[in-house]
Amino acid sequence: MSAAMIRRASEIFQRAVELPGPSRAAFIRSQCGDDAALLALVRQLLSADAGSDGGPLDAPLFRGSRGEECPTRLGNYELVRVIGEGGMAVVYEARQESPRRTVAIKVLRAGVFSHELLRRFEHEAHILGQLQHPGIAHIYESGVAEIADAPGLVRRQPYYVMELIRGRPLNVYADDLSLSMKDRLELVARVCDAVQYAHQRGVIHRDLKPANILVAEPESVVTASDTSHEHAVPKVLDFGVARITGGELTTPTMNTEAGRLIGTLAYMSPEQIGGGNESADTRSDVYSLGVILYELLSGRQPHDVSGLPLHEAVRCIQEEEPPRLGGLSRGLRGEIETIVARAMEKDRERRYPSAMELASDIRRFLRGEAISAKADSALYVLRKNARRHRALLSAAGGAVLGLAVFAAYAWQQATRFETLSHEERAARLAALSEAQKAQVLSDFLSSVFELAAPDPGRGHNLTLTDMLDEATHRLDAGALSGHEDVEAGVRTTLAVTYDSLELMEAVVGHMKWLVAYNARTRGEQSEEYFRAVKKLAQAHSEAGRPGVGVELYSRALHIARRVFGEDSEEVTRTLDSLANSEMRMGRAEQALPIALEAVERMNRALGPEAHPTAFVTYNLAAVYRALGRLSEAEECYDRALPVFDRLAPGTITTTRARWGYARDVLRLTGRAEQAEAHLRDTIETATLTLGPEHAETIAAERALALVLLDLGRRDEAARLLSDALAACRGVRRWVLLAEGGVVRDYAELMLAAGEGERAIAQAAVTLDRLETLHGRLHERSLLMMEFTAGVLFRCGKVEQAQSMLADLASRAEQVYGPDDRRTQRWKQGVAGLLPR
Amino acid sequence: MGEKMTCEPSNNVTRLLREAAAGDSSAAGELLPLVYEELRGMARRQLARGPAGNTLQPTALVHEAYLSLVKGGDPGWNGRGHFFGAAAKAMRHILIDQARRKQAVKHGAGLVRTELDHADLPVALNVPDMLALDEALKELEAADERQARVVMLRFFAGLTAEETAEAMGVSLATINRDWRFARSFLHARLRGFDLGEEGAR
Repeated sequence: MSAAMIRRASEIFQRAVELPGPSRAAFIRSQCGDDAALLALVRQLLSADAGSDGGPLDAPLFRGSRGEECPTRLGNYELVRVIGEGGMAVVYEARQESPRRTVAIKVLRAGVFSHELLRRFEHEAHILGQLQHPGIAHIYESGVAEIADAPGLVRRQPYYVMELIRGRPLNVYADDLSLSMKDRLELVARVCDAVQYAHQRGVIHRDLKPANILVAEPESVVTASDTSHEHAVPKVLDFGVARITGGELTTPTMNTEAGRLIGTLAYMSPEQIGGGNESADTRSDVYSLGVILYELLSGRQPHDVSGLPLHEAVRCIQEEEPPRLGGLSRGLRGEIETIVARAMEKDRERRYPSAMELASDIRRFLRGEAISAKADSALYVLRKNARRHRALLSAAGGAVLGLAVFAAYAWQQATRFETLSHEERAARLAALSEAQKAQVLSDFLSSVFELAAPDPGRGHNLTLTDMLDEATHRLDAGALSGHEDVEAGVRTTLAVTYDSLELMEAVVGHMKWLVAYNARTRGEQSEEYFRAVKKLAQAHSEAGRPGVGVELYSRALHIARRVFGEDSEEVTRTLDSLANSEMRMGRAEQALPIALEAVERMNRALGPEAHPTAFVTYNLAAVYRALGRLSEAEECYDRALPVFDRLAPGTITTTRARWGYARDVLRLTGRAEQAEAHLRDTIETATLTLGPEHAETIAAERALALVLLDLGRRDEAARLLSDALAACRGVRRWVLLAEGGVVRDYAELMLAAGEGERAIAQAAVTLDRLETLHGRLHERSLLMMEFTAGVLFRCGKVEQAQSMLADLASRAEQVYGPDDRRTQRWKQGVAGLLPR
Repeated sequence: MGEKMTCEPSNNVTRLLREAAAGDSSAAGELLPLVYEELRGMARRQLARGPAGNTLQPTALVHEAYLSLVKGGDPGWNGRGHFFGAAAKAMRHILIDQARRKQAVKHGAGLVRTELDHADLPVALNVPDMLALDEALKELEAADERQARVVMLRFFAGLTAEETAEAMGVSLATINRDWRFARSFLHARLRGFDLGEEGAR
């Protein structure tokens, strides 16, 4: 076969695969003309393309995955055959000798590089093994097989042994048996029961979809005689597995396997898409259950994202309201559509707080009783529509992933918007339709993210903040001038991302622009303007200017009263934020009446058992604590914590509230032992739900170290902090938020113990990591440098401290200018370190 | 992992990779035999140990070889690209060699030594497939070198699409397009032979 012919076939092939099936044949014939050999080759190629999944090249040289070369044993199990294979794992059917049974074994294809992953696997698999529920595929055993390949070479292969379920995916089962709506609802209610069981044990599924829910065939159900679907048992598979594999395995594959990702996206909650698996909580599973229910009842997915480019799919799920069920079929009008809509609310605060409550409403509906969910008020629907363009803002805390998704898509774009001249750009922008604006945004981000793409001409070590700063710089230089609405979208994303990195000065910059923009385009009596002002207030407040924050929150409050009405939740929430700003000002007295009012209003509007009520009550506790009124603080905690634990176990807020209670109430009222037990419990749950290196898990460990010090167990405290530090440093990603605090605590402890050298060494490591991550001129690096200089000084290394401060002052001069008070302070050398 | 190994060869490889990355083609040439020897050595050591079924996959071998040879430091994406390029070539060589030897035994073409050196790596492809693949790959190399390199890195070095994109310094979209065609091409060519059992799916 000639090389030229292969090249020609390649060209035709590449274009043909882009075409829909039916039009391919004609296209190929027109391209091949009367070259029969070429035509035959192209046909062969296309048929190979369509039918070659699982062929010899798809599992590169992996002998374990097929046919005669299949390994025959794993530990005590005899492997029978491969029953499933994916990018992440191979699933075998296997026989166990004793007890004699057939099981499924899932062997993860762990990368050679991920020791962290193995450690996490062992920890979590143990917890998963304790889930015992008829609706959950039981994990019998799990482990990491250590296989010695050669002297000094040990391969570690994590695996699960689980219940083998011969069944069909939920939706297939329902359709095959033509189940009635009632039967479908009952099935989903049973799935909810299983999910609720796991939630109560702190396990979140994170990847619920019909493919992960098998309905056992009647003959394999315990009572084989009953073939009625009334006794069909849906079994949920892969509980918590998304988290074990998700951390390090799914993110990298996101780029290539966009298709597969999109398949999973359809069931993923907006907050998961925006913030990644870490931001998922029990309510994210409730969302997925809602989608499953929607699909089972209507036969279609709420968001049709198949065939959409990734960024469009993401936007669609985050912003678009799915068609109401009642609009699809008359039989689905009324309460059932309210139930589904409530489960699928984009704002998780508005969803059913638990799978149990979703199940209860389904069963109430089936029994003909009144359901608890209420249909949206007309006002709310209006507001929800107005919210569309701010979806990224609402996914607070995790737009980084959103950016990564944009970037992944943008890389694939051939258009180089940046290479156009200003006039060309303006002309192109003016001609854009609404739908094309997202493309412009992609192109812009692509031009920024190209910096991070492998490029021989450039250094490869650009940090995330470099990219964000570059994007900011380009916007400020007018890269998107003439198309403000697109710019507003980009700035919103950037603000959220900076916010999640706690880089508040940068947030302030973007929010100022957005405040002005919204005032201009929407007017000062608009929801958009209100949100922007509020966000700006928060940014100022957290950037160390709570006075400005108070002023802006007061303005926001004024707007909220006019726009949403005196009794609206927005007014209450703004009151809560205002109280927080007052607290940051150190004005607990002023904060108290405001915080009290917020609690009173929430109670009135939502009742004491609602999550938002618990949240403002918890904030009130902080006010009481600052005023030294500990018994009132404790009362607040007593009301808030049970609600948190019930509705959102192991989430960020819950974890924070729990360690706050132990540190600020139990410890300060002389109940250190109780505080210790409470914190250990909190840490255990948070390690499971948030991960060992999450900032709140680490914060709980810091609180425990403090308690241990109170109890005189200095060595334990030191060990705990040093472990926490190691956990922070095990993370190679950008998440460094917790490390600064831990290293400070640890250094203080070491200084007090007379081990100054250790304190210096650890501070220096963190400083180095911050500089690598954010750059040498970044605020966080500068503050860590100041701390390090202080440690040096306190160890008597005055000269080193002096020279570090001189370096610091000159960096500060570059960043903040010569007249800034920080520059001024550091210029004074060690004298500036004295208490101010 | 191989901690007792002397620093000498690893430093050597890291240095060669840096030179190769800087455009020194003779460095790239010196690299191949080093990587080849390391891979064969590792295969030999593992085969000397366990019964079949407990063996390292060839693709994992490549990664292990990387860890043991390049522990002197990160050679950068371009350096890594050179390493995996060389490793893929070495692996292809070893496997084709092995397939030819097996075929020779089958056809009774003379005595074959059965020392450990010549024990077989556990490959999923049967002998005719392996040889056919080699032929098809040569055809592809002649037609489009880049597409052939994608196959080498993904199939013989076991890199993921992302890693391949990084190693070659081209976009993921390109890798995916190349891979889609190359895979179909090779499958189509392989179908001319007896494929045996298809993968489970």
